[in-house]
Amino acid sequence: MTITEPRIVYKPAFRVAGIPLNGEEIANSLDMVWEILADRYCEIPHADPDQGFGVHTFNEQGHHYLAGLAVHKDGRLPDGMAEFAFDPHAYAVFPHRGDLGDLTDTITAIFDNWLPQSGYRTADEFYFEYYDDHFQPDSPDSVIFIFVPVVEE
Amino acid sequence: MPKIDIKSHPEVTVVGLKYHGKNEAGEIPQLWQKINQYWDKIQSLDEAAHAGYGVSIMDEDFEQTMVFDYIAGFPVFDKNVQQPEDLVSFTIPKGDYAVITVPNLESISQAYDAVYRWVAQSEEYVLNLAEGNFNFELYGEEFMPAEGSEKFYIYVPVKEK
Repeated sequence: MTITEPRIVYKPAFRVAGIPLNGEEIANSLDMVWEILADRYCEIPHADPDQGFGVHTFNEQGHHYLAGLAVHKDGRLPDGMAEFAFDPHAYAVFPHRGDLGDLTDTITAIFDNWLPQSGYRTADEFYFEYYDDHFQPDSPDSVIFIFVPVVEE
Repeated sequence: MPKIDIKSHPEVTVVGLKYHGKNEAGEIPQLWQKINQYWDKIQSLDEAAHAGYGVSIMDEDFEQTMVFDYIAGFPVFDKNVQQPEDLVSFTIPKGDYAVITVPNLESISQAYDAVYRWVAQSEEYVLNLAEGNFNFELYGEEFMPAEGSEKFYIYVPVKEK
């Protein structure tokens, strides 16, 4: 799969609050966790329902996922939810069009094909899916964006 | 003593409205009100960044006159695209910046004083004037006055001594 050259975006510090998944749960429960979030998002103080984030983090404990919304200010976190605070970063931003079933192909192309020859390296052990009003479930015109934090090599 | 971080910032082109003067009568807040009303005229707007930039470019005799340009604007991803005539653009150069966190708008003057004092006293860094005498305010998700949150950042270009 070829990948178009990303644009480089500088995104100020921000926070995401939502529902966490760990390890093997990620593959099995991804759809469910977004349904739960759709039911419960009103419980998150200061959340922006127009900005959804699917955050993948990687550490010694393995792979973690957070299905969440941008929050504008600290608030009490609802039961069963988690929060992730991001430092300001430069990101390489890639569009993913159409069916989300192909998303892993895009992710693989970014990290295996684009990154090694890009002149950039990852700045941190995470990346995220960004869902805004370009996202239209089940539409071939739907677009989401993959944000990868980068620094120049 | 406020915390100052050194951060790299990539090249970003900002498009918005310009004011030239001393900001003695609230002209800059008015400029933000104006651009917030027609930011959707900006072509190639990079909405995903969710960022607003307030760029100050000091006149050559700023030290005497206190006169500067201020651009209130938003990032675009194609800097060559044609913009409406009343809008101006400024390309922030890629480089290192001394960054101070400003807790609210009331503290803005003290924050400017603090970050420039920090640079002047630094043993490692000096002001980088290669691309002109400028700085910028960066407003992100944390700047949401309607929700009682006014946190933003000031970036001052620096280089290693």
